[in-house]
Formats: sequence, C-alpha cells, structure tokens
Amino acid sequence: MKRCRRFTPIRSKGPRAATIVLLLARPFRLMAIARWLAYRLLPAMLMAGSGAAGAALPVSEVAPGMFVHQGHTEQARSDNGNDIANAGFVVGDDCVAVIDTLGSPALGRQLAASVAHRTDLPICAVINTHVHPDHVLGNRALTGDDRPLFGHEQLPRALAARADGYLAAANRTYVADADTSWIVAPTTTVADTRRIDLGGRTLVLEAWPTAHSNTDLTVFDTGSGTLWTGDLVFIDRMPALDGSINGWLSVLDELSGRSDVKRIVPGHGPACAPWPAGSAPLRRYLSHLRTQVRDAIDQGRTIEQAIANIGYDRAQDWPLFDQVHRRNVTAAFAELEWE
Amino acid sequence: MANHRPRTIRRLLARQFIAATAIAGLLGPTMAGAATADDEQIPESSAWPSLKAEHFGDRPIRDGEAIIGLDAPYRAEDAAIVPIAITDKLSSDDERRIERLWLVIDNNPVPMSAEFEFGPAAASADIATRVRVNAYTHMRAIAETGDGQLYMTTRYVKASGGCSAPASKDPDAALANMGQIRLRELSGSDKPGRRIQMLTRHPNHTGLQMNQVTRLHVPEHYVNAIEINAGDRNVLSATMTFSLSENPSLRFSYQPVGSAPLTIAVRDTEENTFTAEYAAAP
Repeated sequence: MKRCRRFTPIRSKGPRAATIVLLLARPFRLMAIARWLAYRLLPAMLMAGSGAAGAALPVSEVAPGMFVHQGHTEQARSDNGNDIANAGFVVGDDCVAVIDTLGSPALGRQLAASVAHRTDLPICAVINTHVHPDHVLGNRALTGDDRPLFGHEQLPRALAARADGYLAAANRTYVADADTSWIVAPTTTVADTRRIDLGGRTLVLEAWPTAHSNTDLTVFDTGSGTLWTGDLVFIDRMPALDGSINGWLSVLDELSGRSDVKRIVPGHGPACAPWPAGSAPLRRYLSHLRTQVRDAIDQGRTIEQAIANIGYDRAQDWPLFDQVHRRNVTAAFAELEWE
Repeated sequence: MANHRPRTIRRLLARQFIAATAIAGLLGPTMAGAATADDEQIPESSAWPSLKAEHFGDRPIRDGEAIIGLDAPYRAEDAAIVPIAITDKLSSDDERRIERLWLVIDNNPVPMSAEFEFGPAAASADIATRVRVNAYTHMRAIAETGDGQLYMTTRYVKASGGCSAPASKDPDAALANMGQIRLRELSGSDKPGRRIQMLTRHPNHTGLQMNQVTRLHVPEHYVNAIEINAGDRNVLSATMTFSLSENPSLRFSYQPVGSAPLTIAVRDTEENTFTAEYAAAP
C-alpha cells in the first residue's frame, strides 16, 4: 500500500525528446502516424497481452481497498489521450464505487479493466466530482444497466451547456471520434449530502457551493478518513478557476478545519496527500491572485491590463502555468469587480 | 440586421449552426491533426461572404487598419469571457468621424454580435466588451464614417481547448441579481473624454441549452439594447446578442455635458428595462 508522503512540490520538466522530434518534424504526416500508433496499435497489443480484462490503467492502493490512477501533468494531447486527471475506485465488502471516469470512453474502459483486475465485486456506483471533461468523458464506458451515476445537482445543466464546446475541443486536440454519446449526465444528483453503502464501508458525498466550478462534489471514505476532493485541490499542476475565487477559498477554509479528514486524493497531482498541508500552495496562489486582482480593480485598471500584468511572479511555482493563469485572472476579475 | 429579425428565425439559424458544427466534428482526423500546431495558416472564413452580402449588400468595405483597431487575444483562454477592444484611430483633426460600428464573430450562432451608433456626446468610437467564442473564428470590427464609407479590421481568435467552454460559470448567481448595473471610471487614457466601464448583472442565456431535467430548452434571455445619454445628448445606442458574455460589460468614452449625469437604460429580450445614473466626480 502506498503511503502519503510529506508533500513536496515538483518542478516542471522540459519537453521530452520524442515531443521535440514531433514538433520539429513539421508535422502532419508524423502526427498522423503517431496518433494511429497510439490509438489503433497500442491498445490492440495491450489487449492481446492482458486477456479478457482489456488494458488496465496503472493504479496505486493508497488505503486498503482504495485505488488511484494518476493522470499526466500535461495538457490534453493526442499522445496522452486526455489522461491528465486522477480517478479511481473504492472497494467495499459488497461492491465498488468508481470516482471519476477520465477523459474519454477509451480511458473509462481501461479504468473499468483496472477494477476487474483488482476485484471480482461489481461496480454499484459511479461518481462525478465535477463537470470538466478530463473527469467525466469516460462516463459512457462505466454506466448503463441501471447503475447509478452520482453528481452535483448543477451537473446536468452545466454538462448540457458545455457539451458542444468539450466535444469540439476533444476533436481538435486528442481524438477524432468524440460525439454526443460521450455526454452522459448523472442519474442521481446531490444537493447537499448523500451516503453510499458499499458493504462495511460508507462513502459520504457532499455537494459544495460554487468554488472550483459550480458542480464540485467531494467523496469521503469515513473509515480511512480519506477525502476525494476532485479539482477542489490541485497539487503540482496549475489550478484552473472555473467557478468563484471567493467560493473556492472559503470551501478550502472549511475543509481545512475538518479534523476527520486525514488525507486527500486530489483531482490532479499525487495519488494522495496529507491534509490540510496538501492545500497550502493552492491557497497561496488563489489568495495572491485575489489580492492583486482587487488592487487592479481599485486602481481603475481594465481586465486586459490585469490579464497582461498580474501574478506572473508565481510562474515558476506551477507546471502548465501559462496556459491556465490568464484564464484565472479573467475569471477572478469578472467576479471581483462586483464586490 | 440579424438583430431585427424575429426570434424564431434566429433560433432556427442557431440550431442549424449547432448541427453543422456537430457534423464538422465528425469529419475527423485531418481537422484534429491540423489544429495542433500553433503556427498554422489562418484559414479563410467560409461564413464571411454570405454574412457580408446579408448585412452590407454590395457596399465596398475597405481595409480598416488605419481607421479602426481591434484587440482580441489570438488564443482565448476563457471562451466564455473573451475581452475585446475596438479603438477609434482617427485623429481629432480628421474631418471624418466614426458614426456606427458593427462587431461580427463569424462562427458564433448569431455572427452579427453587436451594433453601436454614436451620438454627439461620444468622445470617440472606442468600445470594449467581453464576448463568448463558440469556435475558432474570425472577428471583425466594421466602422462607418460620416461620409458613408465602410472600413473593416479583422482578427482571428482560437477558443482554447480543455475545460474552457462558452458557458456561464454560475447562471443562478447572475439571475438572482439580474439588473444590477455598476459603473466605474477607468484610469490611464491619453484621449479626450472620460472612460467608463459599465457592467450589468444578467445571465445572457443563449436559449440553446437543454435543461436535462425538463428536457426543454432554456429560453433565450439576454440583454439586447443599451442606451446611454449625457444630460440630453446621446452618447451611444447599441443593440447586441448573446455573443456578449454573462454579466455584459461595456466600456465607452463620453464628453460630459455640464454637470448632467450619465443616464443608462438596458433592455433585455423579456422586455425588462434596467436603469442607472452616474454622476462623475468633477
């Protein structure tokens, strides 16, 4: 069983040699070959190697009967197939709950294979921690047969509003065949809390006010004191603000005061982390962002000026900073200018 | 103007657009592959020829880089809030004056996104707002000067991938406070007049989202007209669509008329009218 070591931040690594070759090789034919290899040949080889269970994703056991798959610290790309988030499953005496389904039906199938690899018990619940595509686009592969899919009460509406954008982005960046069958909304929504009994093991789902997104749902394993935070906690990956900066900081405050939470499984980063220490860098980033955006608004600056100037002194602290930070300033500004 | 078309037609057009993007999405690997490199060629706009014919007929449209600036991010990090700024480049001793402006976003459900008409109290035709971007798209600012000429400046904007989508972050919060208007004076302009940012709390629903519980489409509900006056003189009159972001933002410049306050009226598609006054500090 893997232990949650004391949290230490990592530095972003430079591009790997293979990536550089692909980028330099101008690029379309090579990219097409690489994609074909990744999507046709490799899965076929893996399937052949692992028999009926299909290609299982690697998982680590972070508590007895609790398994986590770690996504890559990368943007969604064709060579990672959108395998960029954490997901996993919890095994009770009677059945299994799967928490998040990753970024495509193919990854969802591989996660189901990981479950089958570790236990013969059936899956009796699937849970979405929030609306983002790297966490829910595998739903199709894990649902069906009246198996309940749990999500925040705002999740159906948010998913419907974003579906077209997510599928278009998927087809642009990492697959060729994303279509509306990838969009599977929860069958059971949670407005406040809900308990799921897996047999000798209870999970408590808790829906939060708008924070990282307006669909954040945490999953608490009461026995081990482990909280699956979804993207309420990012570690070693640039946090993305798609809800409310004030809401997010206040939810983190509340969670940090919870003495029953011993450790967490974050939405991105290590398979588990100690609590509340694991949230410290995220809270520092968000607090700093909020202070600077408030100052810019007080000084009569425009949103463009804020986007161009704020927060770049923290760039070295976070992998994937550039891609996400501008969006965070934009969202924080549009929220805080109403204060 | 698309703005003046009956609602049903507009909605029909929007649905056709969605069907078209879904089909385009299925066309597959060449599109996905071509879009991965950042230095790709900017494609021609397939939508523009018919948009031009629809809205401007056979009127000639000249290159506008010397007349009208358009600042838009090449990569829109947040597809729901893409800040854009249109700049009036005519010098104060130029005889021409920009009297109308159009903002066109080729690949949005309703491309003709906003139209601005400037009155005598406008200090310039500088305008900034925030828009939703549904897909990789050309964006156009088209200006009409007093002599009846049209000038166009074009930018290409890529909506970012991943979790960015042109949808609301918190539609309930916007609806709960609908109609609040906030005005603030901005710093740091070297142009004459006073620069104001105006915000209106409004969900600006597109009318295209399926409510999964009721299986009904959320009806469209968005701000479609804004009128701003300084005393008894008009600053600007504008019409717009749900291309503008939730909680629409508008930045403009005006020449104060004595000590008279700015008066603002915002109308939406449900026939609500929200008003505000702003007395600038002397």
